[in-house]
Amino acid sequence: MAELLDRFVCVRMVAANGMDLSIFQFEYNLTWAAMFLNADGTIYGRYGTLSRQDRDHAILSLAGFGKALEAVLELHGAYPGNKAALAGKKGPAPRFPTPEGYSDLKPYVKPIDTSSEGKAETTCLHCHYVEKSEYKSIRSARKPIPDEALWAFPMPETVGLTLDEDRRATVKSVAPGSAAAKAGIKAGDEIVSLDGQPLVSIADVQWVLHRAKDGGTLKAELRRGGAAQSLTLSLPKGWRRSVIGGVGHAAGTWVFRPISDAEDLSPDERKKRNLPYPAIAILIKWPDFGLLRDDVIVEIEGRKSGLSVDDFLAYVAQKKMPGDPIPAVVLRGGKRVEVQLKAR
Amino acid sequence: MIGRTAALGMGLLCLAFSGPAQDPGEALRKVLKDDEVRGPWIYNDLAKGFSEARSSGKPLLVVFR
Repeated sequence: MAELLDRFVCVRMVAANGMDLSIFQFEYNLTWAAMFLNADGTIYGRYGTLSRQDRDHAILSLAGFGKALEAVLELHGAYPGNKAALAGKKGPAPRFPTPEGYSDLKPYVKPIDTSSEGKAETTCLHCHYVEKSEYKSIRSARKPIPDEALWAFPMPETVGLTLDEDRRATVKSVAPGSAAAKAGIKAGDEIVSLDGQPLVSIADVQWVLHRAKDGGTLKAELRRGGAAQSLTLSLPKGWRRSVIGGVGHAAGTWVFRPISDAEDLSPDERKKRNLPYPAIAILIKWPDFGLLRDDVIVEIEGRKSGLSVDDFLAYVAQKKMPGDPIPAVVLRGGKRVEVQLKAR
Repeated sequence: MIGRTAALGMGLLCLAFSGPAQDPGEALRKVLKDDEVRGPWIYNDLAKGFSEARSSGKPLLVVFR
């Protein structure tokens, strides 16, 4: 690894103050993330994402990162002959050139205060502030937050692909009936490029999915048993709306959510409380907004079924404006209690 | 997952590199007690990173904390 890293100029960014958002577009709710670039700003690839604790397998690994480094060196060696293929790795023009363009982030224009750890912490602009401020901008304009923002950087599992975290973009398994299965992708396939973009990591797959359109198609170039294969991945309408890497985990949801930390009741808990699926059963884990810990939301605006936590948050983000009342019913100590939630 | 993630971050930043140490963000690194950073990592200075990439011909790796 040291030999590989020696072939790069390595920069550790600890704050997003002044970050060029035209180049640095990545999963801002990151656990660990990296971008690889040419000195002229051309993006070779991305690595890393939000690593959720409820996933059943890891998404980040030193082995996988090493494979990404090797892949980037190959791309760098072929540059600028491959410049056209890399064009899609740069995103659209951002709303603002830097995070400080957002009105609530203007105070971060001042340099980071290094006089004490506390002052440094409060003057460092965190990456996830960018998403939060983007949501705030949309809400202030009283517009719905679009699917592409709510379900940003979809995990490959959203289209039925589980990829090997120790390789670039090699398929571990394909979910039956999924978009990937229908495309003919199989376990063991190495996805070389997606939508014409050479892949260095799972994060690169997420980037392509992040930019993909509803109802669109993506061309996948694979290596299968040493031979090249070309397949087409069709993305049905609403494909992005998946609980995998869903809405609820994102820091930005605190801009609009009318409830605090919450989760869907487990099957066992549903059984205990006689709330069989698809009954609404949203467990409040943290008291706030007039709700108590262990309240279970069972009715929202008269609706009693078919809404998970993610569905509810997406509903608020897209169908409710700040200040809109949301009447609901919770189970509290075994009794039904009417409450008045409010979209923010 | 968190353990592996921490191992990834620590593992990368604690690797010994060839060449002299460079740390233009020394004041920030010290105040944040970012002691795990060793070797010639450029600290929180993208402009310097791009400049070195131009002069060396190497690609850039930018890691976000």
